[in-house]
Amino acid sequence: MRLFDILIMCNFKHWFRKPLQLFFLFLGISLATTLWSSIQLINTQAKKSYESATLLISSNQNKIIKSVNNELIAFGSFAKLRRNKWPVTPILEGGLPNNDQIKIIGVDPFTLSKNSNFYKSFFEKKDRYQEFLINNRLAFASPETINKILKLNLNLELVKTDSLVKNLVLVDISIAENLLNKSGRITRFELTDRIPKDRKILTEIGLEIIKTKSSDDLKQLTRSFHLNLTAFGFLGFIVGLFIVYSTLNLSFEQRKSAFTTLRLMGISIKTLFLSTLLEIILLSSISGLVGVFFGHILASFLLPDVASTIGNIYGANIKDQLVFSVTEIIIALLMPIFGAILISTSFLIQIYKSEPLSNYLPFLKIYFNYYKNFTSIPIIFILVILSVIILLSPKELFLSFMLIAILILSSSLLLPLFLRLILSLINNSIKFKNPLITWFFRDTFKQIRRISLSLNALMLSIAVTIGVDNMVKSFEETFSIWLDKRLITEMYVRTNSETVAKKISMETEKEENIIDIYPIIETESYFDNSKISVVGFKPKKIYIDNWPIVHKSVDMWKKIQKFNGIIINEQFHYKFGTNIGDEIQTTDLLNNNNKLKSVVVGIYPDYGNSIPQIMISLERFKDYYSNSFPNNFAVDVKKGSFNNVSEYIQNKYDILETDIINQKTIKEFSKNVFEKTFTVTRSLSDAMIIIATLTLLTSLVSLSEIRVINLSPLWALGITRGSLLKIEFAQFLLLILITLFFAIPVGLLICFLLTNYLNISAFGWKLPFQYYPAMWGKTLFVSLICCIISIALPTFLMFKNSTSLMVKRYKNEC
Amino acid sequence: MVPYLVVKKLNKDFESSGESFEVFKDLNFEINSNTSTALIGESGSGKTTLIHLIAGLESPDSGTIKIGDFDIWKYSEQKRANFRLNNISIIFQQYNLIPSLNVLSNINFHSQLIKNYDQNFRDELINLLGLSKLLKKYPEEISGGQQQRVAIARAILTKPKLLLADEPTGNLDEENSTKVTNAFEILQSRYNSTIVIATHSKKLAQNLNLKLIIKNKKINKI
Repeated sequence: MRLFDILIMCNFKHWFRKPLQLFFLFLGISLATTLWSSIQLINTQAKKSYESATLLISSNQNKIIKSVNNELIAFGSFAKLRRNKWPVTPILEGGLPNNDQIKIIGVDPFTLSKNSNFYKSFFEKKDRYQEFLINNRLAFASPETINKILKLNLNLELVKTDSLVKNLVLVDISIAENLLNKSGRITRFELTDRIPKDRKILTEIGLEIIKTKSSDDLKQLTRSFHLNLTAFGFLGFIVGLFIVYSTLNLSFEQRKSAFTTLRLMGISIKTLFLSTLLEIILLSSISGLVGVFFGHILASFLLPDVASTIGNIYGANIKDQLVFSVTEIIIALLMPIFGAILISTSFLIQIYKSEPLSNYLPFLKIYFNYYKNFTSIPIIFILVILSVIILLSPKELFLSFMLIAILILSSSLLLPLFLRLILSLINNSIKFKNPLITWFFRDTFKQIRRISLSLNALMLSIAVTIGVDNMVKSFEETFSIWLDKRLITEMYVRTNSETVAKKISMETEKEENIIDIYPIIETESYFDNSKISVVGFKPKKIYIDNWPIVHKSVDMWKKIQKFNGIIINEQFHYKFGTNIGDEIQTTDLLNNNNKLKSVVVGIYPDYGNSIPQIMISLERFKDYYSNSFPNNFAVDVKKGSFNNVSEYIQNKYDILETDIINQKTIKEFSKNVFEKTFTVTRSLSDAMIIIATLTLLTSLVSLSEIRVINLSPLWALGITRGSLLKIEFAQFLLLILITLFFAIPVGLLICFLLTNYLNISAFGWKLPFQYYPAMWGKTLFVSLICCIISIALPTFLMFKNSTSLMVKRYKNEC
Repeated sequence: MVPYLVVKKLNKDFESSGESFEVFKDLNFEINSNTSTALIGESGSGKTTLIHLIAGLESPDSGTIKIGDFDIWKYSEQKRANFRLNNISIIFQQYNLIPSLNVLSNINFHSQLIKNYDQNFRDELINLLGLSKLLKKYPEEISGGQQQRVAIARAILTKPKLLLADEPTGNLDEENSTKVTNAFEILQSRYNSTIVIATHSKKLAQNLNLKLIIKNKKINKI
């Protein structure tokens, strides 16, 4: 056996002799990797799905051409557009008549843009394009979709692909016509090049250009969502590594003498260093692999909620089943390996610097020098300066996350100082008559070092939970009130037909159950070279009484009704720095660069919208955008007459039931979206508390042997094990209570940064900061119970077996 | 004279790596109150184990140990601990100082705990044992010999009825060993304590009233 092998075996024998340490090491790395890899899997899955979404989009990825009436387009229009040199490719899509779940997408391989991302990612591989041109019975679908359509006997030659989302089948457009029974019809056109200047032909054949979401848009829109998940996953990973830190360091401490002996025997530093490094890599790889496995399970569990959230909020369709590749496993494994090496760095450096006759810095020396250590103060000071600089900078998403990271880092550094300060104050200001009480506080002071990492993990998880929960609760209440105010009427009707819209505007007021009708019209415009949305509305009493406003000028509504006053949403306000009283000029690129000058008279909250928006009176809107018509109507109906009015509108104007929306449905849907949006965040913050208490448990169990030895002098003096158990328990409880107390302001600061910085930079709106002490109390209580369990168990076990350990400590002297 | 410490038919086995080793077999001896006794024997003969058995730290397999009227292994751990706290002081080979307390607090600790703290006697012991310059230091900041003297001062300050010392001068030079011997003499003469010392030091043993040698699992007077 080679020397190196012997060394590795020697290192591993430690773990076999200490199975509990090995278990905790595995637990820590696996947990950390589980959290991290699950988040990474979800993010990767979403990214893949966004890319698949480009399938629906050609070169000009933001625009498609549809019928103004939202109806199928006659194939003849394709010929007309091509004759007028419009660079379009036809798409026919729809659900299979006998299986609505399966969506068929028919494309024309001859006119598809060769420059599109779709073409590049889909057809350039394995000469697929040539095959598709020759054989029009080819159908592409994901493996799971193929299994489904095999049963339908569609007479297609099925080709497996991972590029398509579930339940989607890509075929030649002629095949799609047959499958969907839509002969000679097109759902839409996609643009394969720049839009021609002359757009008359579109109006003539009843088509219009519509902006759609590209994969880049989706990535941009969901960026904050994924960043949020990544931040949580990373924080969970760090908290999980705290478990590993205490276990690894204890194992190194226990093996110091063995390392010294090996050095004295003539083993070189390099060999010793490499064998230890290899040991860390092997252990972290094995436990990391277990973590990746559980990460996959966790991701599968969370993905449907994430998919539904992203789908509801951003309109992005992501596959709710995971696809796993070897590359991803390797990438996921790199994190725990890197993390384990990072936390072992100080010990590895000690090995590298050691001399055969020098002993490493003894554990107790570090333990006792700790109370003189104030090196963290200058670091905190630097972090405070850095945060001030960031606070004075523009609100950027990355900087907002940086602020939160700085807060977390500085509070972690500050917590041990805070604990030491409180205990020093007690030690120095109160003279206890009972020496046991004096010892209690002095020893508690020393305990800080022992469990500071676990306390930090606990503080961070509680602070993050308080911060996130407080933000979510603030948002929930604000959102609920906002929703009530924003949905001014019970009924909303939409139509794509100008004729129907005009009729609704003029005639429905005559219906006895309709109190009033408020047309709403929306179009796209430009401000400061950025796209914005312009909404025309009738600023009537119902708006004046209900519409939520965050800032307004005097006589705001009058200025909108009679002058050139407009109100802007918060997204507009924060993006362009526009304030009340500012004069703005929007440009309509589609209408000969028409310019609209207006004065901002109010700012309104617009949760859920990602686009800057302005609202102007319908009269001004019509003057400016003469070729637009209202396609949405807020209908104020008499109480209890929703169904009658709905039936009346459906029958009279041939409007589908799905185009008549009940306010209650929107509210339920919105609240449901809201709940789902924060399901993952809440699950992750709850998981963090569990991991933090596990960290506490593992570090206490790991260090209990040393602790018994520390307490043995007291036992030998005659203090009973029962009393020592109570003392030990009380010490941890005291430290935990101070930590919980410390976590509250940190949590509120996190909430403040989330509502006042991150939300603005990520979503463009600011949330009111509200206090929910009862909710914090609940979090603290739950955490306290978890902590009590996690300190009671090791404390009890420690003292249950303590006699043998304490005696053993003296037996060596026999 | 009334015997203060009575050990009868004491048996003790150790188990190590699955094998059983007999340390004491039917051990019998008596020690009178207000005397000093030296426990002598080779390394591994069981001196420390006997100290632990008398102190109630380690349980015998059979037999009785009576300290005064208190049959130490007849009672619960709670009562045993309480008896130890109030009647016995132990000086350990590894000193057993409390790491979180400084030297002064370590010296005071036990006597304050049982409320028989005597400041004058403390000052006398500090001067006698040469600890006055170390009072604010923590155990890890002082040498082994200094730690041993602190442990001795802590034990003596409680004025125990029974002092059990395990190699109390093992790490001390001759001058400091003499200081320790003087401290033991003060304890015995002034406070009528019974002292049992496990030692290799012939010089220390010479000054004690009784010498017991442990050999072949038995104990004999010299």
